[in-house]
Amino acid sequence: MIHNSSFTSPKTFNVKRRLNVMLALMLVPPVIIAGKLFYMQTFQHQEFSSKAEKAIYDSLAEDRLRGKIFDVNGRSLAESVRTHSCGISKRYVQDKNQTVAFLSETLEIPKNDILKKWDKAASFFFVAKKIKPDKYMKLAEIMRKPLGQGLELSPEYERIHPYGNSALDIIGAANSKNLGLSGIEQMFNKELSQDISKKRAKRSRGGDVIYDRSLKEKVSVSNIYLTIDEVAQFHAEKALQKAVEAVAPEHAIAIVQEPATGKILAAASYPVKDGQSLAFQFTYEPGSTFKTISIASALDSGAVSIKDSIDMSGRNWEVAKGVVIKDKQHDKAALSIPEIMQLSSNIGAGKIALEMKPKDFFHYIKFFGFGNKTDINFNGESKGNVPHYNTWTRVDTASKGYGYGVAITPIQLITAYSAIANDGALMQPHLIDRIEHANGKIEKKSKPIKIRQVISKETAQIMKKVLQSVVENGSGKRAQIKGYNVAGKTGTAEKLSKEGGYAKRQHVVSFCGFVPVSKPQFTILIILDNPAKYTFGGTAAAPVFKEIAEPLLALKGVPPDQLDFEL
Amino acid sequence: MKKAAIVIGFFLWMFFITVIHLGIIRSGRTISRLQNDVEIKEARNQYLQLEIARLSSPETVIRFAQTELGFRPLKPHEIILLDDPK
Repeated sequence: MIHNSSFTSPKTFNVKRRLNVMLALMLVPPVIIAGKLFYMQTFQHQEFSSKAEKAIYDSLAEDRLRGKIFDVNGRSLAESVRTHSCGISKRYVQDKNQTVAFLSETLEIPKNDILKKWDKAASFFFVAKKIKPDKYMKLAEIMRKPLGQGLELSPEYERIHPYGNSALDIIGAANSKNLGLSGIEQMFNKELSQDISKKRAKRSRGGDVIYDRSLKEKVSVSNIYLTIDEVAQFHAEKALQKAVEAVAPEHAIAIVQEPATGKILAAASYPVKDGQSLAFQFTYEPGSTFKTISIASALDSGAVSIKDSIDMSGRNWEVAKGVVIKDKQHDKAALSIPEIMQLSSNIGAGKIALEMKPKDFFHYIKFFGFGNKTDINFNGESKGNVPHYNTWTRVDTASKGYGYGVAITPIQLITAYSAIANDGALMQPHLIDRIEHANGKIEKKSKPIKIRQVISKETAQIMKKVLQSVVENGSGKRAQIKGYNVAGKTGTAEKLSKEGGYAKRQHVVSFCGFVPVSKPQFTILIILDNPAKYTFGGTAAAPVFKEIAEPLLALKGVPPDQLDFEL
Repeated sequence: MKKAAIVIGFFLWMFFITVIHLGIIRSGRTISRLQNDVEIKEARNQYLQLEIARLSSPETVIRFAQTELGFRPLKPHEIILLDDPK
């Protein structure tokens, strides 16, 4: 028998061939797959990467967490709360009627309202915004069920003001994008807001975010504490509202300041607009409340003495050729300085102003802080306008003596009165008490800062007595508070007319004063701009002072400084 | 035999890794859900605190004291401050 190794029987050959064919056939799918994979990864890389990115990953909405704004005692004036908005992607909704019925019941929105939005929208529309947690939970539960398909819930933060509109003109507004738009919200936007770029998060097929340690955020926002005391603010707003109802002014302002420290305890404006505090932004000619400044300046400079008597020139004083100043409120031939203040004599104040050199008077006005911003840092604060003395005529000097020809802001005037209350020391006004940083560090902002000694202590003491006499015997009687010595000055100034000159029927009435005179705790300024009802500072503004001061004295437990009052 | 053991070991290792990975993902989802619940409850708590703030506002307290309890605001001179004996 001959064996030949190279010989292959037809049967063996057939098997081998079949195996090769089989192998080739088996290799075809992997080769195709490998080829396809090569093609996809090389030529369709970008398309598939983006598809995978969309399917697995999602960008979390930027966190809207914002710091809080408190009053000086830690009462929350503005804070953010988490809410959600609910939208519908129409094409994913399985049963329109059932979904609409569910949303209507859960969100307490009429069905028709939702259906109207449905009909108007092309593909997506918001059903409701600012959804509170309880309703959100019901919606979140349904999201995983067929009924919830097509619903989209996205987080939002709503800025809440627990005390309503109280101090809103100071606090200001922040939008839904976490940006402070006005007031403190804008001034301290950097400290209050947390700027987080979008986070890349993994999502499950159900849409849930899969926790990742990198998603954990460090809270870095700060809380702002104002010097505002919500109780003082409430009383200021309440009293101002009452005055607004009584005389219907165009604008109204009430400020309460602590004279020893310069802290602003309350600042109310009417009308209330987010971040538009008239206390810092309103500019006006003060009229008679400015006599306090001119007479204090004249006394301190030595131009006049408190014992001087001023001739009233028959109550018709021609200050310059063709310019006559009249006093109609008295019939006296001469007035002492306290009487000039009590009767609010323009002739007296004008003559006293002329006793000073314009340069000296100008410098005193500037020393009191007029014509410059107070550095309180409130957005839109005006600096007013005090023209340089080089440009003053004799009439200008005299008229500045009784508060015309200068434009001032309420914060400047109250700070100047506080300087008199504070024995001549002008203090830096403050609105921010402290900033509480995320790491717990407290940054104190309201340390009392003495800007300068404007007038001597002796002059300040004299002025306190003069201003006290205005409330006891003069135009400010309605500011009297039983048991307390009150010092203050009324003002009724004519407003500039659009046609030129002064408008006879347009006034700014005001009162500025402090209490108790022995140890002043509160300086209060009231301004009623252009009241519809004809009125005066003594009749409209002085009672508002009393209405604000009384509850504050009671709440702070300030003891009476009059010893002989009857209970 | 040795090769087979290596292959089996490799597959076991892959299986182990997969199980661990799935566990991590499941835990991540649970944590996310819990975190969400915490946030919702915190938000609800915040709303309640805001309600407390509203109810304790000077306006509400004064209105309640005057209308419900018949109180009247005291004038400052009517308050007698006692000296601290210490």
